[in-house]
Amino acid sequence: MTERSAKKGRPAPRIDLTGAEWKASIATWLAVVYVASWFAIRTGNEADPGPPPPVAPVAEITPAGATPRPPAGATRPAPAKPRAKPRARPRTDVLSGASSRR
Amino acid sequence: MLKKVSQGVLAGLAVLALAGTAGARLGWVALPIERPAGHAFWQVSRAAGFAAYAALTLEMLLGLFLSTDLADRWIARARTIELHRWLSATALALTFTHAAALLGDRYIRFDALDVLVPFLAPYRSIAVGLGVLAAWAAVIVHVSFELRTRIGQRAWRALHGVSFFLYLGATAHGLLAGTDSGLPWIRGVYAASAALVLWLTLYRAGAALSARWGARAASRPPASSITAS
Repeated sequence: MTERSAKKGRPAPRIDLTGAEWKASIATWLAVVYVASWFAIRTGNEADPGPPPPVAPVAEITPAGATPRPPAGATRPAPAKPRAKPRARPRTDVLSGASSRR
Repeated sequence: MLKKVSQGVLAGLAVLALAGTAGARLGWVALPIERPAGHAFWQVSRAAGFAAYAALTLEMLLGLFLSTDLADRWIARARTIELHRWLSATALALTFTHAAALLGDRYIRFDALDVLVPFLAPYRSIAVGLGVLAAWAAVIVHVSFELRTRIGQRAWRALHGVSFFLYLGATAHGLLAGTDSGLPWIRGVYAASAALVLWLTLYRAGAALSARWGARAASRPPASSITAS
């Protein structure tokens, strides 16, 4: 490149590094920026409160009379005992008044 | 062949991840993602974001140097172009790290859609949305390097102009979304970066305007010839 610049009549650049050298130096500076910002965040100064706190679960709004959903992790309540079957009333014949039960 | 297969596998994985995230949002599937305790992912994300901003600033400065000939005395022009492109890729890689690390943070609980779709994130949605827009603009600018010969100089210049909006979006994102933006040295970095980019942009605009006026004045016939005819 320097030769080409000289051919075109331009003055040779003052910093004559190869592409790899430039990239290595820039990558080093970026790594310094990365590490510096990492430690700036880690030191936990007052300006950096860190990540936001976990979001608290919002109370569920249920319509009046509806059963609210149980919170996550709550144990399932024991199933209710089956109700006793109501005794069948003896049917009566309306016309004759006789019971159908034998 | 291997490159095409790996590209296809990566694209398939990305589509699967996006479909899974969308399904989880709609309640169709349950994604059992365990995020580790601690702030490690948050710190990786913040540090990568800040390093990406530094790379973006250098990329902008080199691009403005190219269009103003200001650095030709110091760095060979071909080297500046090479570094400008390399910094674009580096800034994109750091931006990807910045976004990907957020997926592992258990406090913010971002998913893939939050980091890909602007203004969808529940946390500081405007500021994060500006960052997502800036990241997409960075992708467009980077891809435009490859398309320069195909799309022509004029379209390439128009696409490359997006980089100014990209820079503005990234700066606003860093200042508004970063929890450490109150630190004096971090504010100083933002201010120094913005001042340099603004100064070079004004210099470039001034040089372009004076060149245009010079060309117009040269093409105008001299006053004596008008009176003579």
